Amino acid sequence: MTLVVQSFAKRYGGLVAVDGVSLTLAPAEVTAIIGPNGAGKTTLINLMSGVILPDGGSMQLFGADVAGATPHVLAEHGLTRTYQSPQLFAEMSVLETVMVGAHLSGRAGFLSAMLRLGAIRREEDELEARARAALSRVGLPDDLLDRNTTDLAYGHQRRVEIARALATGPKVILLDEPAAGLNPKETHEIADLISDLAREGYAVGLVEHDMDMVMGISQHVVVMNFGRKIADGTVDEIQSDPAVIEAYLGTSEGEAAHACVA
Amino acid sequence: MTQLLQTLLSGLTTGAIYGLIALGFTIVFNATKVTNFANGDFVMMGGVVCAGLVTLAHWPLLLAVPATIVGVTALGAALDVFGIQRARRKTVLSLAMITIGFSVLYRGLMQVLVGRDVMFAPSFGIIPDIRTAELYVGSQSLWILLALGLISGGLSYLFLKTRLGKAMRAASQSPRAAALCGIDPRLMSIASFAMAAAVGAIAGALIAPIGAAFYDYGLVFGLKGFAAAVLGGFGSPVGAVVGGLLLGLMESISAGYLASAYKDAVALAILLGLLLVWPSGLFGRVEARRV
Amino acid sequence: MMARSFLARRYRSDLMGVALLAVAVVIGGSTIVKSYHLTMLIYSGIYAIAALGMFVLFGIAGQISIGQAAFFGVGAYASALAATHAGIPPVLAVAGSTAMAAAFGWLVSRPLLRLTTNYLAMATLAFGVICFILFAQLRSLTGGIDPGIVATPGFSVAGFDLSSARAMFFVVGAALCGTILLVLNLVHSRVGRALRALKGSEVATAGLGIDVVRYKVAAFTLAAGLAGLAGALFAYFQSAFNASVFSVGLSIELLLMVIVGSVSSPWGALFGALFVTILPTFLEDFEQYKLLIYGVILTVVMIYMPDGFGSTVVQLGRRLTRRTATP
Ligand SMILES: Nc1ncnc2c1ncn2[C@@H]1O[C@H](COP(=O)(O)OP(=O)(O)O)[C@@H](O)[C@H]1O
Ligand SMILES: [Mg+2]
Repeated sequence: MTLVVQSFAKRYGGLVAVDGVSLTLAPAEVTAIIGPNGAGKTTLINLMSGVILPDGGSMQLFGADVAGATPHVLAEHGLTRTYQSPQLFAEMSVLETVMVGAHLSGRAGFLSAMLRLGAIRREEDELEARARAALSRVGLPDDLLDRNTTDLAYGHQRRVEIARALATGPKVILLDEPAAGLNPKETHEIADLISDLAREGYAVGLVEHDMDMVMGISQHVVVMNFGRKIADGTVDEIQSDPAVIEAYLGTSEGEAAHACVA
Repeated sequence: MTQLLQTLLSGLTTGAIYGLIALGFTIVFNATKVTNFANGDFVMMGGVVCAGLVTLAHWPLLLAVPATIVGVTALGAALDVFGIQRARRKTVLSLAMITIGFSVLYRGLMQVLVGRDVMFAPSFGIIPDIRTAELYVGSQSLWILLALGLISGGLSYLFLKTRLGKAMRAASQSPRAAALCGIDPRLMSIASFAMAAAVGAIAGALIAPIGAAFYDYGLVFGLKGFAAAVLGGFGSPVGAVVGGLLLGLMESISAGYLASAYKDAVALAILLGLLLVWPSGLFGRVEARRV
Repeated sequence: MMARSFLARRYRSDLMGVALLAVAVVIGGSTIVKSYHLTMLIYSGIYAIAALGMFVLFGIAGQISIGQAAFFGVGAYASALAATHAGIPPVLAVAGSTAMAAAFGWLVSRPLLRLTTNYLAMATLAFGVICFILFAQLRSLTGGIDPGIVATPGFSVAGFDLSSARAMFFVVGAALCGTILLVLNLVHSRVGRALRALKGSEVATAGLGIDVVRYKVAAFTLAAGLAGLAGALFAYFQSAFNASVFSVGLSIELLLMVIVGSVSSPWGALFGALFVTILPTFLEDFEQYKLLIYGVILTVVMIYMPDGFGSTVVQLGRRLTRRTATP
């Protein structure tokens, strides 16, 4: 297994945002994490990516124990993510933003960068090529590359975030609501992109509210409610799980209807 | 023993001033999330204007003090109206920069209005000195402690009981929700700067007779008030007062052991130490940023 | 093959800028007659070097410091003392003081950089004031406020005396050209992008495998080193100085140079240094109004041009040319 999470827990004061959740991500699979708002999905992603430290539990990435590791160490080990509200760099062009994603494949340090010693130019070319490849992989139009990321349309911003994550050369990608705020056509394209990524071998963790999308592209679904994992299985298993139906009926009928019909 | 008591009393006096300055930081921060780098200059202006009115213009103190408070309050409101409200970019740092600009501007203004001399203001009088065999508490110190009591009482009343105060607290907790309830955030912002300036002006007018008034003293006042606010837990009004008193005590105790030249360094070292190891202070809480 | 993109183009035009600056230094150094003008430009150049450090720290990496005068002071005292007491050759003394200031910066940066925004501003401000108090009080070492450092020997390289204003103009000019070249290289590199990224979002930057703390510490160290370099040159040029130079005023001015110039281009630091150095001399005639006018100008810039006066002018220029290009 690529990524194994064992009984992760996170408390905020009296609130248990994540309560003993275990799950595994496998290569070439989309594992969806679903649940009503406030169920603890983002907190779980934050724990898995090292943004916050767990109060309990452990995590193995390719067999190495990485609970408590910082985000940059996890990224070096091949785990990267996107954010529920895009975390783009203000005043930076699209191309450069994605080149930051390619950072790990360069080696220039402060001194050699300032002196622009020997191999730097070639390295810059390589980073740029990597970034361009990632950008065309997510289908971002070429004429946007010199624009500031924060000036882009929302749908494009989401793609830039995914491209930036891909440029790190990851094996595990965690996506926190990548289709939120997108129109149906864009949602469809993102869904296609995600299932293509899984087919190429990435282990994908997907938090998403759009049930058509989740049920359409996931191999594996984890359902959370009130910080706990209430179900875990294939799409078919989840759709017939009474606990899941109840969780959704208890919160929002619209979503529940979606979950049942899809 | 009496020596110690005397030291503690003088520490409480300066501490009360630090507490007032810290209150200024707290009021503005809670309403606007701005750290006001010109806050110390409110105190400086309180001292300089008051001393100037009395010594240069020969106003009676009874008139000079209220005039100072009104004048400095207006200048504080101006920082909000012409600076903060018009800022092209409203990030925490950009707004802090504007307050730094105003700090320079205030110092320049005082040079023009009052001059570049160190000035000594007369004591307020009226309250008699307390003088026993072992102990001496100057009249001005009593004024300062009295002022701290009255101002913190007044502010508590304002924030807990009045419409304006409740609105300011609401606005600080959730600006959007407050706006939906018809609370104008701009009004809250002006009010907070004006109040901080008024409190600063009072502190300045009170301390000028004990120390001196000079156009360049704002920075030290500001830093120490900020240290007090951090010690108490930044954002907590009770913490501001307690932090100020504690800082004053620590400073006066350490002054006994250290050359007076290093006195300021002690308060600042305390500030640095606190920021690094105990940023939440006595009454504060640390907020995590969400992504 | 896709042509190397707009990034390569931007780097090339920056290199052109450095070449132009070098030419300007040569022409200026050989044609400027009044020593007063030379002196003002030398000071601007010295401050520009420190401001470039501030640009790396604040402009690129978004970390504020209101304590740079401390490192400027360390550089100045270290080189003055090395030259006066130890008789170390100037070039070595300058290099050594730069390294010393950088080392000092590195030492204090780890604890300080755990703080952000306003807390970082206050902590560096307090740090700067503490260092200023030490400069003023450690009189056996620094001479304090009075008499201060009395006579640093003139600058020289390999026995050639370069202590005249004209010679120092070239020395400072060369140091400035070198510094801005290094900073530009940094900006257009993997490291510079990482720093700009962490200014935008620390969390996202760390999530891409970038050790945010290490990069912040390095930026702080570099800024301290450049402030030290500027301080060392200052000591050689000024020869006699006292602790009052290294007060909070200098720290705020260095920050202002970046803000007035540009937070997004190192060229802004040069413009800002020139502006902040020269402006007070124009205001000299206004006597007691000087500080007020200065304050008003600063405030107006900060309110209406948060990206810097320089940036605003450039943006305005771009908008105008775009309008004429596409009617
Ligand atoms: N930094 C935080 N401090 C306090 N509470 C938090 C914090 N982050 C999340 N929470 C709480 O944890 C719960 C789970 O939140 P979250 O993980 O964002 O849910 P989801 O992504 O499933 O909508 C919510 O009740 C939320 O308010
Ligand atoms: Mg969420």
